Amino acid sequence: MTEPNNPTMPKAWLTCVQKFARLAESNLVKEDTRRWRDEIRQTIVTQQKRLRTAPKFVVPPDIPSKLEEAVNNTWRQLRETHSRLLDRLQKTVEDFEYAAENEDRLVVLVFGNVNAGKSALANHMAGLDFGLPSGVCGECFVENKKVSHLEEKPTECTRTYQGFRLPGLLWIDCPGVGSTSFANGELARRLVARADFILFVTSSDAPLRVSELKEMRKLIRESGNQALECLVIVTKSDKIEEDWETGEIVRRVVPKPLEDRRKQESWVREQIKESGLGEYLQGCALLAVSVYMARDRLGRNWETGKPDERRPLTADWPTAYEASGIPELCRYLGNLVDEHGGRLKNLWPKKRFHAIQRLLQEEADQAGKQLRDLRKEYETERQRLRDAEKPTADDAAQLAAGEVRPCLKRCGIDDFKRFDRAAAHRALQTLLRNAVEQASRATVEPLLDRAFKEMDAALDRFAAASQFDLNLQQKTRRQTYSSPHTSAAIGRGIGSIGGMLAGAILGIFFGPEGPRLVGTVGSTFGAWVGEAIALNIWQETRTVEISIGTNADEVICQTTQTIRQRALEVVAEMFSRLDQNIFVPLDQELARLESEVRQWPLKG
Amino acid sequence: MWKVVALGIANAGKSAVLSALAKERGLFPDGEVPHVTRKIQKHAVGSLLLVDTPAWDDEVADADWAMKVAAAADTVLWCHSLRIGELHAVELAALRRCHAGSRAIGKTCFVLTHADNVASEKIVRAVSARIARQLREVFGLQFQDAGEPPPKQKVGECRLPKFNVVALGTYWRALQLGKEQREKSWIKRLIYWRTYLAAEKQRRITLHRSGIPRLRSFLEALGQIKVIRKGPL
Repeated sequence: MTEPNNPTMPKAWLTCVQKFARLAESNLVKEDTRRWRDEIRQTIVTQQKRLRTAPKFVVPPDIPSKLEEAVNNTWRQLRETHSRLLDRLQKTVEDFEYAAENEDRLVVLVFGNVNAGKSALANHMAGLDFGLPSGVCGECFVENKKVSHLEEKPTECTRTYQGFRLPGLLWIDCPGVGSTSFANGELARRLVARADFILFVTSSDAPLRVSELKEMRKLIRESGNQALECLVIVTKSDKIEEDWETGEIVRRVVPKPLEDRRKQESWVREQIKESGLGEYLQGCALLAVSVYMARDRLGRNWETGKPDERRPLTADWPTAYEASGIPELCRYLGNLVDEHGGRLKNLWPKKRFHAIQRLLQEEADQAGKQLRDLRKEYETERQRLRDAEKPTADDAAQLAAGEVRPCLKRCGIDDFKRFDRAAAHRALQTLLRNAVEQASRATVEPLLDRAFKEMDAALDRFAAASQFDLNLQQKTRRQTYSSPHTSAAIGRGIGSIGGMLAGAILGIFFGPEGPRLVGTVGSTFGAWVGEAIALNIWQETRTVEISIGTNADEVICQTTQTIRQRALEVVAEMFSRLDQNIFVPLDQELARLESEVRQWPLKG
Repeated sequence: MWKVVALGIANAGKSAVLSALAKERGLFPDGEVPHVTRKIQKHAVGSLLLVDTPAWDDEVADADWAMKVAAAADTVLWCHSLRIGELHAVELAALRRCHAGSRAIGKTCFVLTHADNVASEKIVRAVSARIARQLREVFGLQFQDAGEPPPKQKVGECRLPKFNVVALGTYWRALQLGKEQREKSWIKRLIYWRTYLAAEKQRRITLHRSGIPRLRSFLEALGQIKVIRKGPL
C-alpha cells in the first residue's frame, strides 16, 4: 500500500494496516492445514449423514404408566439432542466453509455489551476518521451490503453482524449482548466460533458487569471455540466536561484520570480472574481507548467523525492522539499479526475440530447417562413387577379357594340330580378369573394402566382354558343283615327230626312203647343239638346297599385344591406374558438406542 | 422523614446523586470502579432520609435484598447512567421483579445521571426517548420524554411526568461558582458589577442545568404531601 499523503494519518494505524496487508500476501494458511481442514470437513459431513439417516426415536407402544413420563421425556430429549447435534454439525461445516473463504485474512471479532462503543471503534479502526481516499480505508459492510460507515447511536443499533474489510483483516462487529429487544445469542455464538481473535469490549462506564461476564462465559463455552486469544478493550475511557467559553456552554473531552484508569484496569483483571474466564481465554491483554478523544484530537466531531471547524488541528496532534489509546491498540494488533497471525490461522481448524468432537462426546455421554438412568428406573419397575408376582399369586389362590364352596353350593352341588356340571365349570372359571383380577389389581394396575385391558383379555383366555374335575357321584353304604332265628329254627327242626328218628330206632330195643318215649326224648335232644350245630355252622346273612347322599365335600375339597393350583399357574402365566409384552420391547429399544448413542462421537 | 432509596446497577451514579441531594460531596463515597458502596448507608438531610444501596448485578441474593429495601422506601430513585444507553436487560428484569414484589413502580422516580458526560444534548434526548418507550412497553408508564404527542388528557389530569436528568459535574461546578461569588467582597462586587452579574447568571444557569435542585424540591414536596396526608383529614 502506498503511503497516502494526508495530514491526519496516524503512523501507528498505517503500520498496522501494512502489516495486515503483508500477512495477506504471504501464504497465511499452510498447505497441510488446508488439507487437514478439508479432511475434517469431510469427516464431519460423513458423521452428519450418518446421524441424519439413523433410525428415528419412536416411543415403543405399551410402556408401563409409571415409566411413561420418564420414557417420553427421555425420548423427547434425545430427539432434541439429535436435532441439536445435526444443527451443530451443519454449522460447523458452514464454519469450515467460512474459514476456507477467509483463509487469507485474520478474522477479528469485536464482542461486548450493548452500547459499549463497538461500532465507533470499528469506524475509527477502518480509517474513516482520517480523511483518507475511499480506496485506502476499510470497506464497511452490514451483512452482505456495503455501506459507507457503520451506524453509531447512543441506544442499541447493531442488530446484525457488520464490520469492515481491509487487506488481511476481517473486522466483525458482533451485535451487543444483554440486549433487551431481541435475541442475538445464536448469531454471537456463531461469530465467536469463527473468530481467530477476539476483542472483548467493555465500557469504562460500567466495566465488566457480572451479567456481561456471565454472558460472555456462556457464549464462549457454547460456541466451542475455547482457548481463545483475546484482548480486553475498555472503551469510552474519557470524560466529558462542560465549560463556559465566551458566554456559551462547550463540551470538552479529556482523558480519564490516570488513577481511575489504573483502578479500572485492576478491577477488570480481577473480574476476569475471579469469574473463571481465564480458563477459556489464553492470552488476555488489556487496553483503554477512547474513540471520542481520538476524533477530538484529529479535529473532528466526536459523534460523526466529520471534520469540525470548531476543533482546529493542533501541531502536536500525534502526541495528543496517543492519549486516546488507539495507537496502542494499532501497535498491539500489528504485533499480533507479525508474531501470531499464521499460528492463529493454522490453529483454528484444530481447535474447531476438538471443540465439535468434545461437544459430540459430551452430548453422547449425557444422552447415554439419561438412557442409563431410564434403564435403572425401568429395572426397578421390572423388579417390582417380579416382586409383586408371589404375593399376587398367593392372594389370588386364597381368594379363589375361599369362594369355591359358596360357588359350588350355588350351583346345587348338594343335590345330585339338580347339579349342572357345565354351569359349575363355567362358574368356577369366572371365579378364578375374578380372583386373579382382584388380586392383581392392586399390584399390577398402577404399573400398567393401559396394558391392563390387554391383560383382561389374556386373563379371560387363561381362565377359560383351565379345567376342573367335577366328578360328583351318588354315595352309598353297604349294610349286611344276618338272621339267627331262622337258622335256629331250621337247626331245631332238623335236629328234632333227626333226634326223633334216632330215638325211635333206639326205642325199638325198649319195647313197644320205647320208640315213642325215646323218640320224644331224642327229638328234644336232637332239636337242642341241631340248634346248636345249626347256629354254629350256618347263619343267614344279607347285604344291602343304602344311599347316603353325594361326595360333594370331597369334590369341593378337591376343587379348592385345583383352583389354588390353577390360580398360581394363571398368575405366573400372566406375569411372564406382561414381562414379555411390556418390558422386553422397551429393553430392546433401550439397548438399541444406547448403541446408537455410542456411535455419536467423532473418531480421529 | 421521607425515605428516599437509590437503586440501580453498577456505576449508575446512585451515591453521587444522593451526595448531590445532600449538597455534600463525598458524603456517600463513589468511584470509577463498580461496587464502591458495599452496604446500605443512610444519612438524614433536611426532611429527607437518603438511603444508598450497593449496586447490584444479576445476582439473585443482591436483587432480593434491594427489593426488600425498595419495598420499605417512600420514594425509589431509579438511577441510570445516560452513558450506558437504554435500560439494560438486567435493569428491566430487576424493575419487573421490584414491581411484582411491592408495586414499587408507583413510587419510582427515574433519574438519568451523567447528562454532562455525554457528547451532546441530542444523545440525552435520544436515550431518554428510548427509555420512555421501553418503560411504556414493559409497564405501560407514560413519560413526556417519549418524544411523541402524549395521549389526550382529561381536564384536571396531571401532566405526564418527566425524567429527572441530572448532571453532577455541572452541579458541583455551580456550587463552586457560588462559593467563589460569595467570597467576593461587596466592594469588588460593586466595582465589577457587570462581571459579577454575568457570573451570577452563569451560576444560575449551571445550577438549573444540573437538574439537582429540581429533583430535590420534587422530593421535598413529596415529603410535605405525606405530612399533610398524615394529619387529621
